[in-house]
Amino acid sequence: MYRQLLAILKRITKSGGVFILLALPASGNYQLNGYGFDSGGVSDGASNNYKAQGITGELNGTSETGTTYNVKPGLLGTEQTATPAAPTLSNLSNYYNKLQLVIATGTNPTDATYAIAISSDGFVTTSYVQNDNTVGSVLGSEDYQTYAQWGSSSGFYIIGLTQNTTYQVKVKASRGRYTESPYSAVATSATIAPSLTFDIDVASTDIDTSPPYAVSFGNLLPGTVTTATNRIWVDFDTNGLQGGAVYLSGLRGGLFSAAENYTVATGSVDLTAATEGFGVQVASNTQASGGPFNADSPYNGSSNNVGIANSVVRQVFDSSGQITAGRGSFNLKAKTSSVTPAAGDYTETFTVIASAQF
Amino acid sequence: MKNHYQGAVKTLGSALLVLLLVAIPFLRVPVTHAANFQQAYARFDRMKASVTGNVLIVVKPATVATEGKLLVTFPAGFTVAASPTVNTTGLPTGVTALPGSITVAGAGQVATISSVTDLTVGTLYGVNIATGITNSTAGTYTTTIATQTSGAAAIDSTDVATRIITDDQIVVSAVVPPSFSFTLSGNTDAFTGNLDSSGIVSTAGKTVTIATNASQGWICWVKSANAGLTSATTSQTIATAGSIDGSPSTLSTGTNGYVLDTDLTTDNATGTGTVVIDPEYNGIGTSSGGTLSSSFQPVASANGTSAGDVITLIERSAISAVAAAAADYTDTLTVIGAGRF
Repeated sequence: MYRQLLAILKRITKSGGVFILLALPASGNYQLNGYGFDSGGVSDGASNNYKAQGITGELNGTSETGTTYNVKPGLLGTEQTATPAAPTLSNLSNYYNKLQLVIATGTNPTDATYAIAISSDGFVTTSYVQNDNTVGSVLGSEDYQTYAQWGSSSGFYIIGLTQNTTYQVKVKASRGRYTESPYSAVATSATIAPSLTFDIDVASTDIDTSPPYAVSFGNLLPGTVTTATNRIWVDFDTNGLQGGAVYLSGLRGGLFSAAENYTVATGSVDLTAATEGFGVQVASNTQASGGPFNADSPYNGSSNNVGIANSVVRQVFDSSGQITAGRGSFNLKAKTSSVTPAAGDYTETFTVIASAQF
Repeated sequence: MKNHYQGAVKTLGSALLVLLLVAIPFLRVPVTHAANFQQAYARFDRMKASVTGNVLIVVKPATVATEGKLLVTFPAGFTVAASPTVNTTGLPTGVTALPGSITVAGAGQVATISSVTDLTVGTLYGVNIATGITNSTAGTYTTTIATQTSGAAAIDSTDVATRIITDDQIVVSAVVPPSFSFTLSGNTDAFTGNLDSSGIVSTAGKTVTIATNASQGWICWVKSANAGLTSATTSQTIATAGSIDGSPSTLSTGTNGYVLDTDLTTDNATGTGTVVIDPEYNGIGTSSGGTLSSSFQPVASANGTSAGDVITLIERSAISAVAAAAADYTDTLTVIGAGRF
């Protein structure tokens, strides 16, 4: 029965579309819903189980293919969604694991859905952007999403990408079966490597210095809070999306004299009130962009409030996001009492490190 | 019978084929690809080139799966020992110890932490690779942190930047200069009354306050100009009593004698030292003291630092009934001290 209907439709098409039915033909299973079958075709020949779509004046069935444009004649060519323009693939902020993609809809209606193919080898191998924005090897029906679902004009981030890799992306559109467009032109962008820049300087002013690094207090006079002339400076720069931190620890728990076997202990204290002590206080923290490069407690005190620097690795500075040209410094302050044993060999070794969070 | 059997098999096969064809659309094989952790970092507690140190690994899982392993792939140039060690002590606040009876093994550039139990998405987990990782030369590297199931199926993975620098330590030095303060409360010390053959008369006393940061404490010495009280007008001397023998001498009423008694006034609690009065000058009561000498004799000492110990020097004298009368009996005591550094 179905084949007979198709034969009728085929004859209609070949006869130039001039065909009049005096009554709506119907059977128990099929019905032709209209007499009209003009040059625009028909798409409402439907029953509960089947749907007939037709077109008149069908051209030669051979596609015309050019470098830039293709012509696909016939029913499918007419109903096919427009091929989207090339999407926009961007690395907006030195990202190492994600790229922003904005789809170009072309002339497709809002209910058109789009599937995204992605490759890092020029589509020798092809993966697909999943509906959770990750990359997978299988393109499922759920991975066809509307322009709105793909983030509209703001786009979205394709996540879980490999660092330091160039990706190619292309998009195809669809509005149901047999309507899928060819892929768009390819957009290209690259992730970069995760980065962490860290450096130490020791100076009284903001300059670069080279190791070995040393800070000398000189004489610590009893009852006086002494601030070492040289500060410890750090450079911190990362594209880690979670930022990172600069950490400090001390080897001996304070200024230790081997000769006297005595330690001017470090602590988080107000040296003005304390009789004796040693600690660290942030003096400056800046960044060119991102960050900000925060001074962390207990090192962010004022006056003579200092933070402890013992064997526990503690954060002195941190950034909650990407940061460019973070620069910070901290002072070393110490106070001795009249009974702090005299010695010329008080020493402590600080370890200053950094870590970025990706 | 054979035909019936073959027919049954054929029917069953057809049914299975139909079932398979019907089921195919629903048998989509899940896509398994490693996602990035929600957060991951490696904190090298030593960033200096070519040194070995603790490496803290922190991850926040992103994918729901049953983890069995945590793998850390160190960059080329780093050395991973065959038997590194791991622990979960001293983790930063907010970081949960990597669960499980974890063990670690090194192979190539990879430290594989096994026997990890299931991790919860969104929770920060940490583990220290305490030993077995030696840094490469200065430069920028990438370390890969990944989780796997016990069957080695990938779960989450993140590349983290690793920076190694020439030196990550700063040596801080300071000098605590020696200090010693020594203060006399006065330079004259008259007897409180006329010397009297019927009693023993003493001076009011002068204090010596000593503070020092000398770890071995201090010593105070006294010497007498004349080893007695002399009168220029009468050319008489009331000589010091006794001898320097490690114990004080007791004056006798009606007998010429002159001694120095040293009393401990304050043994300052600030500092490590304890004051000791030299036994020679540690007089008892008001009638005894040490024999004075024209050479310096130690009268007191301390064995540690002090913020201000105080001793009091009191001269005591007795005279005979025939001691020449004069108003110019005098002696000059030289009192000195020093810190023992």
